[in-house]
Amino acid sequence: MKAQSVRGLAKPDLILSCAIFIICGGALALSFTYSSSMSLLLPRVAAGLGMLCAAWMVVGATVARRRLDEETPVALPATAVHEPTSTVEDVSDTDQDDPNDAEYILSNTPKRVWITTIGFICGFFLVLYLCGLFIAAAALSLVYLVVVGQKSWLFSVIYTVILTGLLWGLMRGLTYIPSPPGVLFPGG
Amino acid sequence: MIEAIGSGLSQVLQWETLGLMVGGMLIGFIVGILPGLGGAVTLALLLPFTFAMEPVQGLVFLLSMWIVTTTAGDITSVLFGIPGEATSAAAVLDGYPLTKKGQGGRALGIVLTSSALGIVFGAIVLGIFITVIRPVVLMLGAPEFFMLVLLGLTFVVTLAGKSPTKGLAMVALGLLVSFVGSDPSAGLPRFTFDQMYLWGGIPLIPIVVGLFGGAEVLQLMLSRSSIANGPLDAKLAGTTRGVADALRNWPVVLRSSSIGVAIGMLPGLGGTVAQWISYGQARQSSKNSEQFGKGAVDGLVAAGATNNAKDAGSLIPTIAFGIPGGAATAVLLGGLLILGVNPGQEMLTTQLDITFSMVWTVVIAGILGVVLALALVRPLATLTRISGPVLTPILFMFLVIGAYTTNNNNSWGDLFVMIGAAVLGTVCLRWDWPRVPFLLAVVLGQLLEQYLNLSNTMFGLDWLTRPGVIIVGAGVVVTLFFSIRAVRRDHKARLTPAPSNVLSTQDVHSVGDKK
Repeated sequence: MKAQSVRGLAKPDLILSCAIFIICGGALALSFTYSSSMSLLLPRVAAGLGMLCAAWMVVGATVARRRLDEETPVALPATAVHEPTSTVEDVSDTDQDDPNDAEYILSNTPKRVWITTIGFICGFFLVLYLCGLFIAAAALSLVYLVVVGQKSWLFSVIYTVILTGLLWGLMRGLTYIPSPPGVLFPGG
Repeated sequence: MIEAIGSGLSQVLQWETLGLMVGGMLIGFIVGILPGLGGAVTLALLLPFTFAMEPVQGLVFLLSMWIVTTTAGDITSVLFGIPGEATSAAAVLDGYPLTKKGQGGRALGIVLTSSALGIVFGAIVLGIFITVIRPVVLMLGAPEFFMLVLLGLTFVVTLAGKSPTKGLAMVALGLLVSFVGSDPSAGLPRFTFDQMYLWGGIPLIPIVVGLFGGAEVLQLMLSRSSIANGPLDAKLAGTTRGVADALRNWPVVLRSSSIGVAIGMLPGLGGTVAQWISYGQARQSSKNSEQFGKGAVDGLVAAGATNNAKDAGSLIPTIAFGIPGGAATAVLLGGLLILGVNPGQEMLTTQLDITFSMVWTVVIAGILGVVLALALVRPLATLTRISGPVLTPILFMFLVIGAYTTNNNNSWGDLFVMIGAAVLGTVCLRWDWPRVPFLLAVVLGQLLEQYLNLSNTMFGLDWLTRPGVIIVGAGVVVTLFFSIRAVRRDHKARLTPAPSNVLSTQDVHSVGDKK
């Protein structure tokens, strides 16, 4: 169990480290294409530092994974190698079991909820692009309350009207702060 | 000096400014009581609303909101055992047990009164220090400021949490983000990929909004529950007794406030560290240390006093050097610049009255905030029971407005930056990568390059031999040494089994770590 969890932790770190290495490496390579009159010392130092740290992480994560592969007997189930000692790693594992913990929420949310949530976010930004802030706000509020919040239509409509009205009043009447216009409805 | 103090007070006491202060305080209450929504995020979201304001009005609005956020964070910690703010986590340890014993009112009285005392102490130190630090700042030039910014960056080793390598990688990433745009010496576009939007650099506010707010709103959408799930049936009586308890423990208040201010002053450290150091010293010096974690009054006093005093402390480097003490002061620094107030020499000379108006705001908003909190405890507590889906549309609007309107471009680019930062924030939260080093690097990167270029242009390489540079350089080395030593010690402690009945450092970190 522990071996699996460590292995599971090492993989995302490996991927993220590789991503940082590529970004920093790209930045370093790009910096050599610029004119020498430009200020490039610090960008190169930052890119170098990033590459160094990422490489260190990649090596560390790879070694950890390989060591685990060597230590875990193939014939035994993963649970058999779990040592029931009370280490601090175990403490942090129990932290992960706190349902209010961000890591717990992000890792234990069912796929269906993830897809619905991402769908709502994408839908909101699509409506925002097409119709502008106020229509997008009203649409998100109404649909989200009915579908996800399981609220009644009456409550959702009243809530939406108040929210959109307050938003309109705040942006158009009080502060005159510009809001994202829609392609189809620039005033929306 | 006296003139500036008086002028600062009279500017704060204008009706319009006081109205904005009350508005900021009410927002601060709501934000502070909602766990996860920190002062930094709200400062970022409210920044666009200050565009049309006078500098003092804008600063009063932002500061009063931020100060009250810290106070209100303690309410959620005490009532539900969930820290309203990352810096309110220590209040959970003794506040929540008192609430469970039916002494919620007393616990709130203790924590709110010690908060008020801490903020007054912090403001006095801020006012005095600002006047003392003035000649020091006037002696400093671009090379010394470069070294000070570097000193701020070295604290990311401490902020990186369990893995300093991850922290440094995030710093590198943050620095690269800050270097996007026209370069300071030739004015040519750098890392812009032929995008006009990027010529002016990547704006800070959409990054902050996405990095913190985006990730928190996503969590709320995924959990679909109310923010607080704890019981609200505790008796909220005994508040007066709590006030008396806090006053009786004045030595603890003094010690904890001093620790809060001192650590708050160090850029990069902030309140998350200060609260645990203060809590630890209160426990060491307490006659009933066995009560700590079970409802010790002095433990709660220490947590409350440190929490607000550190805010005043973190304003000192922000005002005097333009170096933010943490995420919230980083955003506040952005607010200062937007309002046309330049931290550093100007705020200690020509704009000293504005500086003192900030000191007065800290005092007035801090005390009024505590009085309001004591009066509004029960209705405020019910906010944490609002269902997540009901809250989500409002928070979503805050995210979009906060990101879109903070930059003069008013472009979709800002929204894309916010979305990108939200993705980064979520990835960091999910796989335990630190977010604060990235943000500090984004904030400090431009300053670092600006001061380095100025130093080289003005002094060539001779700036390296200036006494101020050598002194701060030694500070950088010492800080690095102690940070690395602390990280190594923490790593060793993690590898050794912790006794179950003792509050270990790791327990403390696990409660207090805010990624």
